[in-house]
Amino acid sequence: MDDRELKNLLKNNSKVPCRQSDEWSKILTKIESDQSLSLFRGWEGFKKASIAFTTFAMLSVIIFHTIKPLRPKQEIAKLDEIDTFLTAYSYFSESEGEYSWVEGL
Amino acid sequence: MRIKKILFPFAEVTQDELLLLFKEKYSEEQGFVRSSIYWMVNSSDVDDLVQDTFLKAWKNFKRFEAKSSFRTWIYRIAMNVTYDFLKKNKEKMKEFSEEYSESVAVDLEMSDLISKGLMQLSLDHREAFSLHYQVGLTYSEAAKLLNIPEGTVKSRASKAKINFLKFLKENGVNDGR
Repeated sequence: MDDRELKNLLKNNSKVPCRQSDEWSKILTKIESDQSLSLFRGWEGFKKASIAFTTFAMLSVIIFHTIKPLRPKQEIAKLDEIDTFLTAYSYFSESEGEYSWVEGL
Repeated sequence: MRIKKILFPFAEVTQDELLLLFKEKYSEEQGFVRSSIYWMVNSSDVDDLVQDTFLKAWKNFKRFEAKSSFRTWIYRIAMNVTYDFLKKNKEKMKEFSEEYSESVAVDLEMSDLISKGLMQLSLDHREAFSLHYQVGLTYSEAAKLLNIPEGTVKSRASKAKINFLKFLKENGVNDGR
């Protein structure tokens, strides 16, 4: 069998499966999902990640300083009580009169 | 896009433009890629392998320079994907080949015999044989694709032809009849 005959034999009996009609869409879907995954890969990704991190950090600082931390009412009342005790009923200011005799000794 | 490239040769190509160009290349070469892979693996996995090939090609498409033709470039990617597949599925391919051997004696269509005959060839020989006799490339074109001397392609294809025809003869096919 010469080359031409062999080529004809192969050509007439070949059965390469047909391309799926949605093959390009499948490739496109894979490309898109791959791109979303690789958003933060490489130098470009590093730059994006840096910008994202800086923005997040700045926002966190702003939020921390502008919004007062929310505490339960009970905790605030307790803190007020301690505050009042420390300033108004301190040991020295309250007991000054009672132990003034010590000085007289 | 081509006009833009002529007018502004150093302008950066956008992602959408690149994808459009890639789709164009896909449409041109998908048939060639499909046949090249199919003649090497002879299995229904060809669809996945074609998709993998174009996905890998897309990942490097930005870096693709027109030093070699797109066909040469995509063919090498396709063969890397194919060889990886064959390596990973060595056992599966062996089983498939043995199954085929048993059924040859019963009755097989010519197309099945051809597939079986191809699977008997070594990978190097199969590649050269497929490119020349099935895809229809000249020895010189096949040599460029495989990046080996033309003489080596001729020798591989010729040895493959001898073994392939011997196989057909053993299975009752004489001169393609």
